[in-house]
Amino acid sequence: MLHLTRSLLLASIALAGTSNLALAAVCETEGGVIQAAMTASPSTMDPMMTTTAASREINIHVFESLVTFNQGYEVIPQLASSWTRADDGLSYTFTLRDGVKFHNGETMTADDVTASFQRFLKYSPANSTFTNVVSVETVGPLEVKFNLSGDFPLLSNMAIPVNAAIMPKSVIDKYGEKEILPADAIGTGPFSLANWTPDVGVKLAKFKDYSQAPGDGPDGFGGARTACVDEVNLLPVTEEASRVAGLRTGDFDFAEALSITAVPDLEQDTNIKVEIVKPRWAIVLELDHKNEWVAKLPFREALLAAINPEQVLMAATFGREAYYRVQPSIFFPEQTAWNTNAGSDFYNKPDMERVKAKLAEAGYDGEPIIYLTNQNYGWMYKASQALAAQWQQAGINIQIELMDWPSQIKRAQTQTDWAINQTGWSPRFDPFQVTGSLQCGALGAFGYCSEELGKLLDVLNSGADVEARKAAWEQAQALVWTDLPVLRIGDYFEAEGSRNTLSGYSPFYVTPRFWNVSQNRK
Amino acid sequence: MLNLILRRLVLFIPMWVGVSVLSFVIVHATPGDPAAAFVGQDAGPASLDAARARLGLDLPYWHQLYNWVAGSLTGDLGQSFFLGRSVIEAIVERLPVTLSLGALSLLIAMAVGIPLGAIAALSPNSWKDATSIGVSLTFLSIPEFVVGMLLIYLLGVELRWFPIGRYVPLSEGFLPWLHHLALPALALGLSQSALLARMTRASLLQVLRADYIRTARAKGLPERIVIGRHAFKNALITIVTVIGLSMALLLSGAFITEALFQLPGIGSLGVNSVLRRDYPVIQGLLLIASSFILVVNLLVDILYGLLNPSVSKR
Repeated sequence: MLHLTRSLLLASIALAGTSNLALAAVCETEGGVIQAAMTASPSTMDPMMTTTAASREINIHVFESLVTFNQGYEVIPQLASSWTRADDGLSYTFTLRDGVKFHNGETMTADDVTASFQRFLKYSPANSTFTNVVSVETVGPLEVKFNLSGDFPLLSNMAIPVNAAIMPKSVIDKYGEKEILPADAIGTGPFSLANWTPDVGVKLAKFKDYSQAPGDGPDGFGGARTACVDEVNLLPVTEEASRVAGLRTGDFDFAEALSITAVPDLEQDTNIKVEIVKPRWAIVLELDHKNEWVAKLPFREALLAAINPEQVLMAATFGREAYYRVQPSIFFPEQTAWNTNAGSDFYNKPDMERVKAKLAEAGYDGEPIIYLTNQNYGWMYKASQALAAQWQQAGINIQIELMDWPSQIKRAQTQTDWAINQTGWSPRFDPFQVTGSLQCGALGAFGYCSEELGKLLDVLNSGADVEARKAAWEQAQALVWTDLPVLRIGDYFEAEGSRNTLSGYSPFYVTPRFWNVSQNRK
Repeated sequence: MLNLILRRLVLFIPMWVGVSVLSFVIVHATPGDPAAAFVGQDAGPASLDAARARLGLDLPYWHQLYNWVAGSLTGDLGQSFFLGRSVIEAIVERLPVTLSLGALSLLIAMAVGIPLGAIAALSPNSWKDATSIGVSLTFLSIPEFVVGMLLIYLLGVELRWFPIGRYVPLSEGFLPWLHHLALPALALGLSQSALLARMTRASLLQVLRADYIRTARAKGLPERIVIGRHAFKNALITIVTVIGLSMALLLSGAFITEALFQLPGIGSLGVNSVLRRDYPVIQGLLLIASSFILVVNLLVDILYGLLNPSVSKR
């Protein structure tokens, strides 16, 4: 017996509410070009070959999937109009929106979706969480069925933008496992890929026949999106000074990842609007549980008791309060669906007596504790300096080892000659994405193993309903704060800037969105 | 002479192999994983392995080394991991940018450095000498990226005379090309001009003390001709040598300047490739840069042979 999800109802209500009048008011002006200075260059235009942030910034404009996330990080339909889930959770049937056009003029059918997912499941680096999908089949002109061997959060996995991009079957057939070339990077998004010159830039062009999803307007990564400008150029500008200078001269209309020190000058400029992107980074310490000391819970507790997070965050942000937040939740307060303070009794409670007691309990007597950090991310380096000072003061013999970022990752993953690894977590969309850092045996868990946490992760990785998953997550986070597989210090924000000639822009997640943004400069 | 050239050309082969092996070893000794950079942080271990296999990184170390050296000997430098093209194509694509930047900054270096050095030499120990040497020393002491940032701030942001960064190819017109390239070329050229000014001053001073200059003056030749025709012409030999030397320095300066001004040239290709661990491109660039130096050395030797026949007879 199948039951209809509420999405069908939502979609039909939203459809009824859409009118031409509303659409006309969406863009302040139409046409024009946006020059956006980005931090990194994508490595491919094939959405199924990578999961890097640089590619996501392109892909959210060009490609769409069956579902996506809204502003509150909840799953909403995108190319699907509705879906049904079998009671046993072992099959999902999606009904597609009718008449959706690809950039090459073809109309999307169930065969395109089936072919795209089959390729995704076979070759994408993001496929590892989809192992329960046994098969995908076309069951009608606009109906696709997913058969599962076991229940799992299929919808949240599918919604990660835009790993499971829907492309024409003709393109999938042409390339198979080979990397899709830019000329054939065809999706259904509001912009099409016009040109990609590696390290120079990506040019996106407005897709005139874009088939808008229903809704009152854009919502998160989905909703009713509109391309207001004719062209968006995403230019990799790795030097921050150059991004700032270009924003001031008007060479760039938008610049991401501006450093805190650049902001006061930019704020003086009346032509520029600076916005703080929340959420952005969680300052996190990964711990190597194969290390003799880290393996002991009292030692980990001593590490936590020595930390004054506010001081660390102030060091990372030059003391600018707007750029940090002392809070313990793994999911940021903006991520209302998953935010919780569960278990954080000992967070932000620096206590030297407790440190001493816990160190004595662990039997620690001053052996060196290796702490890996880097200067590629200035805030990580500054945070690690402050943390090292706090730990040293507490009698822990911390030895900082400075490396470059790729080398640090490699060493953390392949060697066991370290204890603490300075890192930053970008916001996760759903708790299943934390599994890789907490689950027994996962590379990113660095030897951590907890049966209790494992059971909770099993619930989170099942297709259980939202309420059951929320309850499991609450308990999982409580365990993270008592068993300390990792140490979360707090939130670190970055600014981005745009010229006043852009209207309609608002930051979301960590990925700039240029739909429903107008260019008023002539 | 022909013998010298042939001898050097034969020596080229072991050098090429040596450089190939060295560049491979250096690049692969650097920690970091290109496959991880390609697939991103959400990738599972199985797809990491698949990416490694696709990039040829799953082969044994010796096998990879053999493929690379054998390929390089036949002119095949392999495929870039990230750029969707061969290493040769990637380098050839970016060559015009670096050549444009190099040529323009060399022009600037000459236009600024030679007159500065000449002014200093013609009035030694005067305020003119002190000023011009002071100016050139300043440019020599400030790193290129600082000069670049100052230029961006002054001429780009405050005065708005020049656009900041981005490359416009010559095919889109000489003036747009020049306008976009002016700031980076200034940043690179000014520090080179300092070296040139100092060498011009030293060389011209030495020539001005020569007997034939005294003779020319004694003959009653006007100062203009003494300096222009006799002194400067002879001083040029040293200056031209220095210009040749600075070509190599310009290439290394391009690494910083191109990154600062977002110029898609060889320098920024090098920096980006190192950051994302694009092994074939780094190896290719190392090989080509070393070959460039080898060729320049060979040319210098040939020139020496022509200028001083005793060299080629040795």
